[in-house]
Amino acid sequence: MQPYIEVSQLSKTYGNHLVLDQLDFRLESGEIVAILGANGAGKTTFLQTLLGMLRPDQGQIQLFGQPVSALKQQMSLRGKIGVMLQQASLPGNLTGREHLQLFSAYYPAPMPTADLIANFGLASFIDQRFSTLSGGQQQSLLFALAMVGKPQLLFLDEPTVGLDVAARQAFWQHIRAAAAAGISVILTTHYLEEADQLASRILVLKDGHFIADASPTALKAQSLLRRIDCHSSLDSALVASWPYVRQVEVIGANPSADGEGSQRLLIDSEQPEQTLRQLLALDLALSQLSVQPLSLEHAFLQLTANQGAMA
Amino acid sequence: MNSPLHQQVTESTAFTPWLSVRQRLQLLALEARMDALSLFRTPGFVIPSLIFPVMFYLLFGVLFGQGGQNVYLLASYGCFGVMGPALFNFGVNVANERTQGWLAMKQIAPAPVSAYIFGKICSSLGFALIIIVLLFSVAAIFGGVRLETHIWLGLAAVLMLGTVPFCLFGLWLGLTLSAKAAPATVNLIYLPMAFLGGLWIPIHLLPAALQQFAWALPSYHFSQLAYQVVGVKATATSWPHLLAILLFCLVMVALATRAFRQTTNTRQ
Repeated sequence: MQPYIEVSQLSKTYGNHLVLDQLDFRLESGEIVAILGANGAGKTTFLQTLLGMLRPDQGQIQLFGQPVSALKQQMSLRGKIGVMLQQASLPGNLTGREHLQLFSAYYPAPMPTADLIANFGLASFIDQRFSTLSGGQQQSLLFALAMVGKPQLLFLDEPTVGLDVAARQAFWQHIRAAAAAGISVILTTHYLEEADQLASRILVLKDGHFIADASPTALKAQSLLRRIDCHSSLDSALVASWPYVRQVEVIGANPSADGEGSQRLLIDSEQPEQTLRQLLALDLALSQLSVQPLSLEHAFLQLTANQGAMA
Repeated sequence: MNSPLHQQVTESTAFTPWLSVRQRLQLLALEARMDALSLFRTPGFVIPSLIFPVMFYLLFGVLFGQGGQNVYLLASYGCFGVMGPALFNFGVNVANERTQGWLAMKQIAPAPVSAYIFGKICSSLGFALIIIVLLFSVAAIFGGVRLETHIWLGLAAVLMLGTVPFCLFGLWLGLTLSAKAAPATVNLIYLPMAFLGGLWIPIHLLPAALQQFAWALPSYHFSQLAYQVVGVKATATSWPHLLAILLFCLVMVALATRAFRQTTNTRQ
């Protein structure tokens, strides 16, 4: 079975900033892939390059086994994909129904307008002008437009950015329904939760590279880690040997100058309560204590490191 | 890559049209209808576009006009009246729709760009027709203009066809300008172009240098063709003006095509 998307050695620079650095990527039929990354990490650039909207500096992109440049000429290839661009908006003077009507005319056998209205909960606002709709309603309509042509593959660029929690969860239902209908999805997001809720595979884009490529289950295990930050005179090797402790990092170790022999320890633990009990029992002088969830970036760096160790 | 299956796929898609003829006609009709709806729901566009040519005609042709100017001014303000909406509908709306990502959405969807442009030309022509009917009525009722039927129709036809070069000009501007800059820039082009083309003040009242310069303006050639139809103040022959307008159209098509390629390749 041919992959839906196949990318090799893809690079893209803006000025002298390398946004995408020799990326390889495949998306198979049935996958729901989330590209996760901070704002400015290059997620949108990646997606737009896949769609032929941006020209890469180098690398090959194939959609359904055809070079991406074929999108320009082949309506049938364009008909296989549905797209929600980031912050795209429609002429505000037309109603949702009018937009659906027009977009339906682009396809030989579009999904019936009535089905779209029912499936994506558009009924209450379908006859209002686009400019009067709320952010969530606009995104639902744009999603319906992406689905008009019964696509096999959906591209969603930050589909829920700017939506409130309720609207975001409502929107996730649309994506789940599409996935349940057998449509593959590639979406970008900077919400870990969104990727976790929807994706079968999560890729983290940072400094032009995918620093992780994992299932949400692997990700979840990782996100249980907590980071204990404290000043202590305990030996870091000893702490590292305790159960549940994954890793200990020593920062600015300078025992003699500090008098007490204290140093700053960063302890990553799966059971922070257990680890804290031991720490406090053994070091009565322990100070400047804080416990925080690991940052996403740290979790993924660890994840990749662990996977490397296992392999 | 070169498996028989792959070749088959390419060939079959190359020979099977994406939409049937009937569907393509429906698409063209829908694009035109939706663009016209969107246009007519913009009061900020409709009201000034309809009022200005009529108001100018009433002021300078009827209230303060000296006799014998009525027909001449009808042709002048007719040109002025249809030029604006064509320039604005394309220049401002294409810039907006490009900036808000609507054009990009259509290009990724299997929407032919030609249908988009066709729809906009139709809505511009429809709007021009309304201005023509309005202006002709005012001229006949308040300006006492009496023309033979074929001259009324001939003038209407010239005014309708004459909007096309300005649609193309607007298209190029819309593909080049940002949404923010478009309205002001289009105004900065529209009003001087109308004035220097002799649409407000007869061209022979302008300094000689400006009269020479008018040859570079499509508005001048457009108005000369309109004057010839109604038989007032026209230069001797019409073919140099037709040729100039045709040339202008070709240049605009070339510029718009280049701008279109650039926007699709460097869009952020």
